[in-house]
Amino acid sequence: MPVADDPTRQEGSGPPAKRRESGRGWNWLLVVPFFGTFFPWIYNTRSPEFIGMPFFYWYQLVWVPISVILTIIVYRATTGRKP
Amino acid sequence: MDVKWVVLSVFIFLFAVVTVLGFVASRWRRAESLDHLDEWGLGGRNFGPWVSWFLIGGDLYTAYTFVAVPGLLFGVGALGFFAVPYTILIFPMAFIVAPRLWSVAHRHGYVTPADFVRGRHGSATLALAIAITGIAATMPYIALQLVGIGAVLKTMGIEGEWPLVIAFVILAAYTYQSGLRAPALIAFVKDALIYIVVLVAVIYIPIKLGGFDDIFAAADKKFSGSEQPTDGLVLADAQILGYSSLAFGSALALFLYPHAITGLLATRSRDTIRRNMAALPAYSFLLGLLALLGLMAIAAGVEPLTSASGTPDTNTVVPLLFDQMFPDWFTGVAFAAIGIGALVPAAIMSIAAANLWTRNIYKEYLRPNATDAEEARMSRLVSLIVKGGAVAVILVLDPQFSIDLQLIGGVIIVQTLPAIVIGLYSRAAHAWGLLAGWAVGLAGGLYMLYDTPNPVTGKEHFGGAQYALSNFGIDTKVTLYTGLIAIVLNLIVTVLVTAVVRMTRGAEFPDQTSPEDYGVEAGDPGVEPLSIEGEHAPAPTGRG
Repeated sequence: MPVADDPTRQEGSGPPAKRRESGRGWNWLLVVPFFGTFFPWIYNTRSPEFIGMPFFYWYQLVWVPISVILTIIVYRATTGRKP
Repeated sequence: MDVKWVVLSVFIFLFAVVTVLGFVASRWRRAESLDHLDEWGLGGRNFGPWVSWFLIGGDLYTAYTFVAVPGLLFGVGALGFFAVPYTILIFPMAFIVAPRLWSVAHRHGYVTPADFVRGRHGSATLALAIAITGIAATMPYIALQLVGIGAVLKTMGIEGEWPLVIAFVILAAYTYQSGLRAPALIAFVKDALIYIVVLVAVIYIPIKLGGFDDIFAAADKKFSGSEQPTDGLVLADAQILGYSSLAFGSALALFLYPHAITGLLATRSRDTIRRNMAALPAYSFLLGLLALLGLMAIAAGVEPLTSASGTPDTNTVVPLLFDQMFPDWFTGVAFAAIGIGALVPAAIMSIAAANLWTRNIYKEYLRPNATDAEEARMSRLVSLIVKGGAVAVILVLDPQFSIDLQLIGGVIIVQTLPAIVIGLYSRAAHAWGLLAGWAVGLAGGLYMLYDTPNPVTGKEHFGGAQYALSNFGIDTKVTLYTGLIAIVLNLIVTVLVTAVVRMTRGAEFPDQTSPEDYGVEAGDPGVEPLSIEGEHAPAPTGRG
């Protein structure tokens, strides 16, 4: 993981090292949390409740793990192997 | 109020531990010397994913988080929960944009956001504007950290301002000594304490209060019994746009703060940043749970202490809740968590502000031939001055308005977005357009803040960062986040002035960067320690 320690890429001549990030289309997945949370009209209600918590609160909390999972998917998909 | 000795002893013990850590940090991952800004101001630019996670997390989730957000929920309910969508929106955006800044900054040795603006847009004046904005937005943010410590001290029964001053003198001393390594090391302790306290609090307190049913019922009773139209368990219709625009606008602002950028640039690689943007939201979940403590305080019947002006100080709600619920020794741990949670960001912020001064004002205008060692010495000195300024701010202004101070800072800092974020992608905007947009956005933003009364506190001006659309002649009660209106103004002016400059064939400024610079990773050619325009000697070895 410590990329800087990779000795194969220390030599300075030639074209810039091969891009280790690819598949930029995956980045569009990152728009999803925006649609989930930017429109409070969707979730500005009390019911359904969950363990006594109004919908407004637990719905937004649920989006935290969802955004984490999406970001991890995008990270994995856009990080290629080291050349 | 009597002094709580057990609580105070635990607090002082933990505070002493991090003080020792702060001084010892100067030997951690030691460089040959601290006589270079990359070492003192960026910790050697060599923090890996774990250290960065603690450092950036400690940097972004501040005492403001622990004290003011629950305080807001205590006061108005649903509106205060904006902090959750706010932190959800930040990281996907930063995941895309921040690695580009890392790459170009490492290729050219940029230490501050204004360094990048200088190199990219070729205008020292624009860079000066960005630097001043950064410093102006950071000062109240540091002051806000003091409010966090102050709330805790107050709850422990300690009167007067001197303990606050002592805490900051100690902080200033080890920041001066160790630079960014101090908050990076202390962040481990801070986070460990915070996680323990929050997990215990959100499990133990609801059980003691009879579950979330009872908590929300008590909050509902309070809000429906109040006269204010702005509080409630869910948002009023007129608040909905204000809520989401505040969350979105604050998210845009966060990674433009100099201290956030300092945290980013201190990382070892692009990959470190990308990993962190996926891992940092773990803190957001914590923040959401923390926010609910404000509602738990309602159910527990907490009465906030009054501030100097006689109004209830909602910043004391969380400390009081802990004090009421926990045994004394654990209250001490919880208070230390809040106090130390304020020290980490305050240290990073003062370093970031000092770097801006040194790089973009002192070296640019006052002493162009400053050596690396002189730069580092200057930054260390200025970090002391910045903290002194923050203490002065807090002694002069009513700490009650801490959250508004932070909102004002957000309105100001978001005006640097076009120069930095558009700049990371293209040169389509001309430096003069960006400068004009910045000026108009700033003036408009400040005017709107001035024009915002707060009926609850009776303030006529600077009553908050929600601007009523009725001011524009629209017949509605809807409000929008001031920063978002100001940034739209900024963008419009940027586009118009750029068009005029290009049509009249105004001067084009040189661009120091090239397109490949924005995608390079550590170890690529040119991303070993480098310096701006080769004017420095190469940095000491032992890095990378």
